[in-house]
Amino acid sequence: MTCSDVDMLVHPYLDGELVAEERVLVERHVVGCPHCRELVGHETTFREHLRARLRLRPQAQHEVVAAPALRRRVLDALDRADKAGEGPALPWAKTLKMWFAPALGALATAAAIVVFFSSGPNAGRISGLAGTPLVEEAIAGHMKNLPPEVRGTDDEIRSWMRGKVAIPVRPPFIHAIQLSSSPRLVGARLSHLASRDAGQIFYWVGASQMTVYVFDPSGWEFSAPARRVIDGRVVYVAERAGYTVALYRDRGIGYAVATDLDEATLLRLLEASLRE
Amino acid sequence: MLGRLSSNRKLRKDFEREALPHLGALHGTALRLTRNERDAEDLVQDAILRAYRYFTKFEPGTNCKAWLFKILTNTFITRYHGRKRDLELALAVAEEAETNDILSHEAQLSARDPEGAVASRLLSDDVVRALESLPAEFRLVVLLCDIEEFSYKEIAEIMDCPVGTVMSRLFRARRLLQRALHDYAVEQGIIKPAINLDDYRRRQKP
Repeated sequence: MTCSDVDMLVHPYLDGELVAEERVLVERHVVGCPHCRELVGHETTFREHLRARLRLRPQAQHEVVAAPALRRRVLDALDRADKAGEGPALPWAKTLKMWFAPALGALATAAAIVVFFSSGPNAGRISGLAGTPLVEEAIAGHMKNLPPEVRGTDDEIRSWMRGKVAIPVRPPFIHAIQLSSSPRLVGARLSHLASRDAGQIFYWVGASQMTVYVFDPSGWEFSAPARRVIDGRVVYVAERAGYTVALYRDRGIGYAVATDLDEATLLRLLEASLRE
Repeated sequence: MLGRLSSNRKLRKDFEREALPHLGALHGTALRLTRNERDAEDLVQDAILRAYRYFTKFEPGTNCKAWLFKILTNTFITRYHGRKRDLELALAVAEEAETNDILSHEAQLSARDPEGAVASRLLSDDVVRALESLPAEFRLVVLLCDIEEFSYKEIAEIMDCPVGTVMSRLFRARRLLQRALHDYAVEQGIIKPAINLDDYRRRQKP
């Protein structure tokens, strides 16, 4: 051990980062070397006083007053996050297990059908039976609970999406009558549906969440177990593992709505929106 | 649905139990990083919300404080990303100061007061000011090591860099801090300047 070794090791030594053998070597050298003894003494004193001075600060009056206020502020922010559905995102596997465990067998069959359709001559044609890819993808995206990339009014979201998605992304529930059960716009993000770019828009309806995918549907044929007609437009509806999904076209734009609302409530909201 | 709601409520409770005891420490570090109360509170709130959002990724039983500090650090860097030029400039100044520091090492040794405790004779405000004069990365490493007493390995994880980088940053940061404190002490007449031309000339007079 030399003086330059001690020079290099003095901080790890004082920070308690050396193993026992290294400590012994440093201490053995320091005992017999006045220069290094001074160095270690200086660094020790410096550190003690630095800690004492900097730790004094939290006792300063403004910080004592700020602490409960900060705690309240943080708790309020957590409440708001919970209300807006921006709380902890459950891990994908856990969420899947929670919702899909009873339907795993059915899903396996559905997956086989999806593979069949996507690898066959009609690849890209969105069709099928219980395993319609659009329905599954809309539910999967809804469950992921990803944070919005943009927040604001309908117009702000529309202009943010311009140039990012090839079609105009209009939040669909602009004019729905404002009741307590009316959809409240949370925000939006860029996403994709069946490998196609899409705008993903998040709403909060009472205590339920709703995700709307807006995409270019050209060349796709929608299909789902139920077919409803609202204001002359065909809406395909599927209910799966507690979620409801609606697929429809409006002025050449495709919409996939996934929510934990029941079918009747979702259709009422769509009716109000499409009639406007 | 009920299962999901009760699971969310439990997560919120667990989060409050794990994270809120560290609010004071996070706030202290945020205050030194941002250098003002308003930004510090915004930074803590942003970091806590981000931590809450990703709370399911936190492994219970592991070091929650280190996890929260990592999020705080990342949030700080993201927020100050737009001011990268300022940071680069500060780092360049720090490099220069470091070179001077090495050149004047002997001079500094001779200027030490007998106790080697400049910090003990300065007021807390001076020490805080000296700390806040350091570039953000150096400030952070001192706060994490000397105030929060994280290990080098934990600091490496928090700052997302190798342990070797932590050690060299810490070394440089403490050097810069000692230098800044030394300058304050000289300014206030607590210690004599290392180089004093008047003294020298006086001594040389027959």
